[in-house]
Amino acid sequence: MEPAVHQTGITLTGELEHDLFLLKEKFDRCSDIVCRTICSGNQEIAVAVYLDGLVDDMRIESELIKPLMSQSELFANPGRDAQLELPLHAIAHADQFETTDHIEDATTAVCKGATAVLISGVPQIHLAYLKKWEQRAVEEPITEAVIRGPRDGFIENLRVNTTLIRRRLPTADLKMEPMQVGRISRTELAIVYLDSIVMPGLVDEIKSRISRIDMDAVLESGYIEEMICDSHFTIFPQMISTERPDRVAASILEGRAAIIVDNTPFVLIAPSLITDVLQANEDYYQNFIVSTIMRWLRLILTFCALTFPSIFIAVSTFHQEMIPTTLLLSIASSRENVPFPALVEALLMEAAFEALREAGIRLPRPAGQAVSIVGALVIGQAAVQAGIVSATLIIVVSFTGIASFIFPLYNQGLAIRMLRFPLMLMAGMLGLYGIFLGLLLLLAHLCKLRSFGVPYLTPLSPLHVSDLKDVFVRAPWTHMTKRPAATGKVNRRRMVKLPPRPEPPV
Amino acid sequence: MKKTAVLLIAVMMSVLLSSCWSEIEVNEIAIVTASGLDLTEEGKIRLSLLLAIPRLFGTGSAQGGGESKLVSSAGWVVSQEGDTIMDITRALQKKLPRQITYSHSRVLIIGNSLAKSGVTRVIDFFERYRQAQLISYIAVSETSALDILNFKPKYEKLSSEVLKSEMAQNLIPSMRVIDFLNLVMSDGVEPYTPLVSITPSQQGGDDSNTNIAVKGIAVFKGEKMIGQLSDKDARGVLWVKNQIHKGIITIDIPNEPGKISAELERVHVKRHVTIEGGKVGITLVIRLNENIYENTSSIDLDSDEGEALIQKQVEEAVKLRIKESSAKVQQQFKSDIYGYGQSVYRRYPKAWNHVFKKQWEEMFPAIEPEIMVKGRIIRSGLTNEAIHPEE
Repeated sequence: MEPAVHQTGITLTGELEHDLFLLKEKFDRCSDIVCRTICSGNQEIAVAVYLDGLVDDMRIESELIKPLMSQSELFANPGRDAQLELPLHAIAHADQFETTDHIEDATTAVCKGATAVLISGVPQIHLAYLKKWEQRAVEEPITEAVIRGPRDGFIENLRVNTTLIRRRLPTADLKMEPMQVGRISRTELAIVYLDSIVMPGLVDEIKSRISRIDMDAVLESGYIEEMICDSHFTIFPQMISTERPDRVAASILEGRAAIIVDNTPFVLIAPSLITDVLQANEDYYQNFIVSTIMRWLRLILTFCALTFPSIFIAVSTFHQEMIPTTLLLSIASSRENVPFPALVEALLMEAAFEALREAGIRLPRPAGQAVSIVGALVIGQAAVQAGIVSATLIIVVSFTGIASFIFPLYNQGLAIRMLRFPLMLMAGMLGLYGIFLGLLLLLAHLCKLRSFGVPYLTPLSPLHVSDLKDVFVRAPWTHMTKRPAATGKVNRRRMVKLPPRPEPPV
Repeated sequence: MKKTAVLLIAVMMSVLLSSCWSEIEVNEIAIVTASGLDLTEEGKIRLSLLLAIPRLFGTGSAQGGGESKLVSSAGWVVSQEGDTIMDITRALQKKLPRQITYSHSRVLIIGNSLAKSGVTRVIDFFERYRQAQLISYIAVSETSALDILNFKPKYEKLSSEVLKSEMAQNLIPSMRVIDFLNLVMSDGVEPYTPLVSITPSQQGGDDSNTNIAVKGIAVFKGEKMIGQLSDKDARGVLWVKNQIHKGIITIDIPNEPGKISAELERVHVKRHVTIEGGKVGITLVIRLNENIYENTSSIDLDSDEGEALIQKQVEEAVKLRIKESSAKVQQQFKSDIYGYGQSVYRRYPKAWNHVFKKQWEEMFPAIEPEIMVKGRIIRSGLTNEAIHPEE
């Protein structure tokens, strides 16, 4: 009998050899497939098929094979038709159990870590989910380190990630809607939100946008981020991607929704606003005055990272009268031997800086150190002594470099870092006028951007005065009694304002 | 589509129509740090520019400095004769590899002979030219402007820096170009400028150790310099003009050996103008606070009598200063650098226009300002009595 591939799977006969052949044919040339025959006496009574590495061997042994063998008398009985509908969960204590008639379903399930059990005489495949595969432990996220604050970060396992959030918000109000994307990868994802707080329409919008994705595979949340964002031609991230469960929990509490994608520690939060670039988790864990100062520092450094090299170019090539005489003289003296115009010089060094950083990230760690040493030499002393660049520019570049390290969110910082190159070109062509033109265009662009319908510049424009207490300052918690207006429209009250401080005991 | 086109046009226009194509690298400009103007014997103008040589400004930390380093200057003086400043600049530019940039010229030195023959023919340029800074300082040199620019200073690398920092100290008279222009053009007030000269830095020393210092003020009448006042008299002028911000007054105690030095603070001079019987009366009401810093006399600063005595002496000293300089300004130069005329105009504009304006030339020397000084000792130091050896 020639078993054909049938979607319907009615070819299952209950005959072990035949059914196993069907399944094995699917996994032809898959070296990681394991078929364990379970015998009772001389009789083969069942076969367990699974992919090595995706299942828990110990549990299969103890919870599947041993119980099955102990039930051997069922199979020994020739008149066993009555017991053929053997409920497998009667013998095994697997987490999840399924039965299917379809060979296709079984194949898919096995690929995802299920163990298919073929039982002699039963024209069905039992699927036992005894998954276990290697996974990283929950560690501190590398991209968003904190001094004060929780040290746990997301890992590549969806279920662990949802647990990390659930432990922070242990309520049934926290919904986690599952979805699946990717024709081949069938990547699991979960949309997480608080039902009573989430921005109206947001979840439906996310779901409809995700359901429109039809691609082979989704290997990282970045795929989804790009596929469902509002506008493509922008450098600004329209969703936050974070490794920190506390940030996700805080965002969910503001009425946003998170998308957790399997196989990546980066969780997406929608919508994202421009002000997120200023807000680090630690702001909320530390003294609010300190946090406010840090925010201002971040604001100023953001501006520096964006414009400092271009201001230097503009001022030194167009507006020398703006520089105090002594400073001009020292700039001039350091530029005496430099063969390039300031623009070329700055572009050269900024590009070198970005290259060093990129190289430092990509290289294996031991080699990375060598890069930084070479980089320090190249960017620092040698370039100046060789008369390629001026010492003043080195200061500008390194200060800009430091400034571009301060962003709490990596991809927000990436946007700002890259934007300084066009600004430098504008400054090199048109001076300060060019910088302002560039900033104006940037502002116009930001005004146009939306993230899931929320204007990107919220709460600055449209202005929500009451939300400003979490933008340029971090107001004390007692004063942030309401959720942000843009995302927390429903259920705005976050807390009841504290009564006056208790009097000290007399 | 239409929107994009409009946006594109706007962007193109702002980029292409900007006429902002003035890019010039910092190592392509010749930075003028001071300009000097002289009158040559042929009646032409000689413009001297003190250019900074950036190469010599470097950190230079490695070499350290010997005596030779000290006297070396990072400045380079170029000069050229011609009819107008623009003309000369053009001629100079031909000789220089870098573009002359005036925007950092913060000191304008006018040579003695040029100042005496009139400054309007040269100062016009500084009013019109985009790069010239109206807030730069102006000064008249005792000799030629070239001498001042050629001076090799000790502290700074450029003599312009020396002058600028001296002017900024507020201890000596200083004048900015814009104020000078205002004074030249205004009615009822005459301009003056500080008078700089190269003086030995050691009193009674030889000429090898010299410094640029303000020696007094150059008194102008209209656009021409007509004379100069010594440093002491210059301070008298500053008193009247309410430009004394701080200063020291040292008084002799009558009938006693010993002196008292007081630091002045919050000096405020108020000018009252009256017209009585066709005569202009000026009253100067001076309020000042004193800090006593030195007392070598036996006066007890704690006592009311002592305090009263000192205050009286301070008042007298201030009056004397003003009167001494006033005599020279009013009698010798007959130039209203005090701006009494302008005060009259402000108080009595009609009377000024009809009567005084024409006669001011004769009236000004006759004015005898009445001076009232109201001093107050606010601090007298920790030790109230002078230190005396125990008997």
